Amino acid sequence: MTNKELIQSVSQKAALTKQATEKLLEATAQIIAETLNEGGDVKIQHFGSLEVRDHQARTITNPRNGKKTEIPAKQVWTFKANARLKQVVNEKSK
Amino acid sequence: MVSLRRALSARGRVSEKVADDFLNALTESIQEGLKADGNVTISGLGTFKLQDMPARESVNVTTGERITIEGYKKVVFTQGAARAKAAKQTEEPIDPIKKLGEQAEEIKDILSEISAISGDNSLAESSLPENSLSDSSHRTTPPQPPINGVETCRQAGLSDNGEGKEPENEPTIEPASTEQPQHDVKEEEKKENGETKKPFNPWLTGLITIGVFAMLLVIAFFVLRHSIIHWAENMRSNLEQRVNKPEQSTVVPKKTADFSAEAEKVSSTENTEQAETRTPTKPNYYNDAERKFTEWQATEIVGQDSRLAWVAKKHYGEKELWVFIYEANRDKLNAADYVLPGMELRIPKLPAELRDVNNPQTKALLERLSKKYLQVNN
Repeated sequence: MTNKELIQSVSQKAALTKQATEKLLEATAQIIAETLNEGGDVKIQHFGSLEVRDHQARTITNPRNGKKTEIPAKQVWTFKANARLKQVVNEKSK
Repeated sequence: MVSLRRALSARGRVSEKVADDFLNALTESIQEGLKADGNVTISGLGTFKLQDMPARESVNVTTGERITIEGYKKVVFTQGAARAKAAKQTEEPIDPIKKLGEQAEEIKDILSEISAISGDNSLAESSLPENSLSDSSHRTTPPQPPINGVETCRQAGLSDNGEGKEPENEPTIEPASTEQPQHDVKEEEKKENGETKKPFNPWLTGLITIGVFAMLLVIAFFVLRHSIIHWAENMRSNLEQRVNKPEQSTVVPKKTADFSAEAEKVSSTENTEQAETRTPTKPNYYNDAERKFTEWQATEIVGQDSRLAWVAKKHYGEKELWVFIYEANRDKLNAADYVLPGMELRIPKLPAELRDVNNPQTKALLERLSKKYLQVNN
């Protein structure tokens, strides 16, 4: 499902115009991104939570030529599905 | 959820109910999308994907029993490339300067408030930018004029009332007092840029709009002039035709068209005089306006799959002359390329000049007319 299809589907469900849906979706993404960048986490009902995880810097060895490369520390957004979403995703598709 | 809804309603300028509906619809749609093809992309955020986790064997730790954990589907999220970049940038220490800029603006506001309270409005307004700058530089150095203490107090009070960000910013900026002069210079530059840029943009847009309007006016003027000239020409030719016809009918009652009189080349003095008066009427035949034929040499009943060009070939020997048949039968023919079998077409008698296809004037006329009629129909 692409962004376009998502907008289409949401606009039908929430009885909004596509433009309004697009704006709201953008705003949602912005809010979530800003919250995550500030270090907070976002919880969405019936869906899950988005959090920031710190990944420490580490060195890896390329097994082919033995070169060592440093991977810098970074922050990664992670998603944790809550029970409801897990249930929904698993029960009906099976 | 509650806070997200509130933030969304504030950001998107919609009621909380709409925001709530939207969020519910969004989660539902994402769920459906995941179930449908296991992949949902939200631009500006990232992608939700379904990952198949195969069944695996494990051991119950307490009993030592072997158990199988059933396979399931896991929802995974990968952040979008754009956001990943943005996150990196915000981590870099560009922030303090920006926040300082914000603070400087706040200080400006506070200063104006103070001056409003103290009563010298005019003075405060005129010397506002200088004040704010000097104060922002003074703020970090301990020896200060007495107003400054009031300011910082007020600022602290305001920041408590204001956004939740403010208290976090305070401590981060205060320790960086050694770097302060550099920041101030940057601030000044920023302000100058901002002040010069802001009036510049409306000017440019205004100029562009004025230019576009002028262009449109000029174009409209030319189009109008062209159409008026065209119309006037048509009217003149029509008038000339009308004026000439009665004159001919009186002078040469049998021959209605002036070309026949012209072709005779009468030798008598009277006729030559008349011919002279008539010569300017001759180009009427080469006008783009439709000719009016009064004499007919035959009528043709159109056969199956016939064309005007074929009829012209049959009667005149030249298929290019179809345009005149078309003009003579405009009452029946809607389109030059739409001839129905069984139609009765009148074939007009053509003057010698018009029948002569090799005459350059006629040739040009035929080309123009055929182009015109075919274009109209297309």
